[in-house]
Amino acid sequence: MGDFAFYPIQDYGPLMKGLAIGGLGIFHVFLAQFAIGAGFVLCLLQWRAWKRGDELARRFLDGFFTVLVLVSFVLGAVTGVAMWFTSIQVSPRTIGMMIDEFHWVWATEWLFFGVEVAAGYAFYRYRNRLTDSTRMLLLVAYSVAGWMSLFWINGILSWQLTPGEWLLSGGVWDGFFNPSFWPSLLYRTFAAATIAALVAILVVHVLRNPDGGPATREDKTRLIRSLSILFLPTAAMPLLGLWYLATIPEDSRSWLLGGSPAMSMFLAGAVATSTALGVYAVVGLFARKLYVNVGTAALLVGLAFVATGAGEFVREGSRKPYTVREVLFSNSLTREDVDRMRREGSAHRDPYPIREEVPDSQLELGARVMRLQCSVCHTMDGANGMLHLVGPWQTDQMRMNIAKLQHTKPFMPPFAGNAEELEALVQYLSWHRAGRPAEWRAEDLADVLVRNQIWLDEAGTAPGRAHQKADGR
Amino acid sequence: MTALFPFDLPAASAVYATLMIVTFAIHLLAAQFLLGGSAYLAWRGLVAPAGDSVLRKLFVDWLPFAMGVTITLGVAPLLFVQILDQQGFYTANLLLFHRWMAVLPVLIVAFYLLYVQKGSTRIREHALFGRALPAVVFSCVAFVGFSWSENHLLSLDRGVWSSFYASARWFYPAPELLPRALMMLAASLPGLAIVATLLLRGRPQEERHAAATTLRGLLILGAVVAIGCGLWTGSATYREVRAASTPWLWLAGLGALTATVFGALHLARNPKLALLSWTVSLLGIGGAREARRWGALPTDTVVEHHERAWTVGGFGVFVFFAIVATVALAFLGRRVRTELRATVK
Repeated sequence: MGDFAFYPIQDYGPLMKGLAIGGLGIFHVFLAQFAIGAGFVLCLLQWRAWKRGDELARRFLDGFFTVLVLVSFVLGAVTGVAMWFTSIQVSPRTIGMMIDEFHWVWATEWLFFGVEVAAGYAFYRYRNRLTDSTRMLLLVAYSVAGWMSLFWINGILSWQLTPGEWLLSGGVWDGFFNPSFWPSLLYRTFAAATIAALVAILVVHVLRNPDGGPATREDKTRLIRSLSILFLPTAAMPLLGLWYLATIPEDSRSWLLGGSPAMSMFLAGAVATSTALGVYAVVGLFARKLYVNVGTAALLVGLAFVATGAGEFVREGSRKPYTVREVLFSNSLTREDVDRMRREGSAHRDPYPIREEVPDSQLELGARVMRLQCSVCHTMDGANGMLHLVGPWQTDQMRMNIAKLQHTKPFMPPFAGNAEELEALVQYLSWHRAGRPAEWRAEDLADVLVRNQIWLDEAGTAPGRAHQKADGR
Repeated sequence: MTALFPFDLPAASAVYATLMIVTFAIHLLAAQFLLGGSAYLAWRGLVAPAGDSVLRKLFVDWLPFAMGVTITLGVAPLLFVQILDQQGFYTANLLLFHRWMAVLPVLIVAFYLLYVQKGSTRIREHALFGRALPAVVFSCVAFVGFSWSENHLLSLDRGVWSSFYASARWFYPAPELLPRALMMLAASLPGLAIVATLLLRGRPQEERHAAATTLRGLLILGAVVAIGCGLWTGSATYREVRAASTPWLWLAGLGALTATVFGALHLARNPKLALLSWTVSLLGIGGAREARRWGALPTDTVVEHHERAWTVGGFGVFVFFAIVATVALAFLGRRVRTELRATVK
């Protein structure tokens, strides 16, 4: 257990930790993608204002939209830091490994973010006193820097699911330019353009005339038409989606394509909303130059948010049973940790006490095992609750299913502990299932531990899907 | 002769510690402007809510951007602390739990209120909101700074982690927390005065003149109180790491003294000298802070971690893009400045 760092894991009560990071993540991704896509919108409008003398584009650019961009990139920065803090709360070992492997990439991303903030703010503050060429230069710098920050972060995020050659070489660039890097980057780039253009179309409806009155329908139509060119790349998104699917591991693909009902549903939701949005944007807005009223514009932005949320859920979920493919399981244990913990036990050296009152030391050990191995994804009785999942299982069935967890449910990691810890966990769950009585008498241990050990040995420590393949199942 | 900390450490640890010291000092300057500026506005809101003084206008105008810059500049030390002391930083985050995570909504509230303050003269001059709004903003900013200090001290105090977790407490009232917070608040004033003087440079002579006395007063008052609080906390807390921290503490003190002298003599005429001295002082604070951290770390484990982190690669790319970003920012800054000067003429 040499350098294994135990962390003080907190209890979220009935709330699953994944909900915290998922909810924040979706909000952050939507904001960040809007800020990146807004760079394209700003450049397009400035180009029209500069080269074609389009004063309407200038008015829109200099007005509310610029303020919105500023707010979004500051909120993007705050929620970005929030993602970092939330990741630490949920899975410190995962974020720690990401930092260890990619801290210079992250530092490089920070440089571009700095350029984005400086250029964006200089434009916001001084736009009315600058020449068109300097305005364009600032917006191009903002846009390129924003996109580059996506470029860098995309390499780290896609590495989590498809680490590729990095698994063999350990080289940072082998991990960065991984198999899903390019489809993911292009997909996100086009999604960013689409989101920003949709938000811009919504904001068109609050545009005012120089006299302070609301803009005319002709003006709004003209702006919507100018912006509609940004929807054109949306047509390529289905192909990019398929390319992405082709690059991810076979078992991850199988979760999405029917293997996991929840993930398949989310994928179907993401595909359906994206398709509806894409068809309307390309055919309706770009090809047929339709006018969009404020209600429809708001609905389209809402659909884009739903599509982003569903897509992020699918991306996160498809990594199961890992947080870093082939290296770190969902509960932040490595294959080596699992091997070692099978021999030496997992939780007995955890220096952090159990806060819950339990009648005996076996249940205390069970609580420690639950905290270390299960609590990152499961609550006891709330969201994704253990009691709901093991509810119908009899005690022996529970022992065997947990011992062979990665085969019981192939998107689960293998149990990482010895026979005593397995029994402690089973007793702890049974005690909760029985309503936490003041006294608890465990069964005769000798026979049980022998049986537990046999099941653990049969299960092995390899992940479920790999094991099934090796057996030819 | 023993080399100065952190240059006496193994190479990888020395690189990460140096980057931490430098990036923390830069972040601290921005944070001082934000904290000092919001403190000034809160104080002005209470004693003289009506009317916009030069400084009030300046801070109302610049603080929203200062918050963005502070957060952005804070990302670099946030990154390096996760290499320097991953376990300590993560453990402190986890132990403080919801209380720690509260800094995020509080930052968003402060950011929003700063824009409300900037956007509406009516609200600024309102009998109630004119007083309450700057006070709330200052409370938010001070809360975030206070939480960072608390988090940092808890990350160092490895002996209390287990009992702190058992108690399920959300606050870590270390004995040095209060004097340390007072020092940070006082030290924000010289930082504020220097940056404000630089921001006023393009303004008309009478505006600069009107603000000069107040800024000089803030600088001297802040530096004197900060040095006093620094002696109070430093004498007790740095005893165990005296050899490593002493040169940095001297640097911090001398930098602050020099900045005070330059500030008192000719802040308005030549703020760059005060800025330079103050930056040296901030580097001193950063160095002493890291020396103390190093004294609390399980050295063998972290050195091994740093060496492993150093081997992953990517440093060359970072340096290359650091040069590109610097050149790009310098070019854009120069171009914008040139055009702004032309429009003034």
